[in-house]
Amino acid sequence: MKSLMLLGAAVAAISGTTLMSNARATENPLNDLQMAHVAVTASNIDIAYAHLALAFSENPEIRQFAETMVRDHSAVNEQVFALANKLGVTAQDNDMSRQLLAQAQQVKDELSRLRGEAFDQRYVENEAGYHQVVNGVVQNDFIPNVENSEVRAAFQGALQIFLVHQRHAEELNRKFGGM
Amino acid sequence: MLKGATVTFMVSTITVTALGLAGFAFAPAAAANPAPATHIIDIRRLQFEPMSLTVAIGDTVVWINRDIVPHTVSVQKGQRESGHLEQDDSWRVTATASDTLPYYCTYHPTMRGTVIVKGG
Repeated sequence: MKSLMLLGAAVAAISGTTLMSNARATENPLNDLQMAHVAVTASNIDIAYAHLALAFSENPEIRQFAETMVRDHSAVNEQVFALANKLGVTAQDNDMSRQLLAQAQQVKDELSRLRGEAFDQRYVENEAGYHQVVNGVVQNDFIPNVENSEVRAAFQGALQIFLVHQRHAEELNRKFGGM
Repeated sequence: MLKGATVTFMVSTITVTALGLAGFAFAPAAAANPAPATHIIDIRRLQFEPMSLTVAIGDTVVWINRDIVPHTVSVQKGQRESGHLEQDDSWRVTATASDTLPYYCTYHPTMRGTVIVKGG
């Protein structure tokens, strides 16, 4: 669970906050329902970032990427909810989800203060980093540790989508980022 | 089940024929090819499968979206565009001239494929 423990710290690094503020969160392994909750939370966070991009960016490529994030992450969440309904379970809130939300608020606050190229640069930089970190956790921690085979299959399918998002975000970051 | 396939087909037919584009068009099979084939390209796991497909003039290519997320098929030459394809939607075109036709998904631009039309 090492990389899972690093998720909060890595996201914090991306968002410009300190690593130390996020050291806890996942001292105990998450169960399937908690992992599902983290995945849905991470998707909702990216949808929120995308809505900021649609509000503030005038770059057509970035706006199209943001529209794709809203569409795809909503579809993945719907699949998770459908699976939970089928299994008769509910995703469980947990410290990791709460930590992600708290850190995302800092990123949203930062993005909300930016306009023009400065916003575009920060948005695509964050998208590339955020997808890289979340995908790493899903690939290296969630999929190997999830117990239910249907939940694992859902994670595997979602990962394929999110890896394409990551490549797209990295391309945009090379093109429009401030690196 | 090809949900929305009929609508997609009809809209695409009108659009492509009206533009009079070479290479891909909705047209009767060429006389030189009495038995045109239909080829399926599955859009699955955010990839076009197969990624590269060679067809003959008169053959029909059908893209079917198997993913839970929507896609498009956008052929760069001639700016031919499937429009929004939800899961199980399909888009078809018939090859009318030799050409190499790269295409991609506008929603996920890293998804790319190529149709090679031979013959004629």
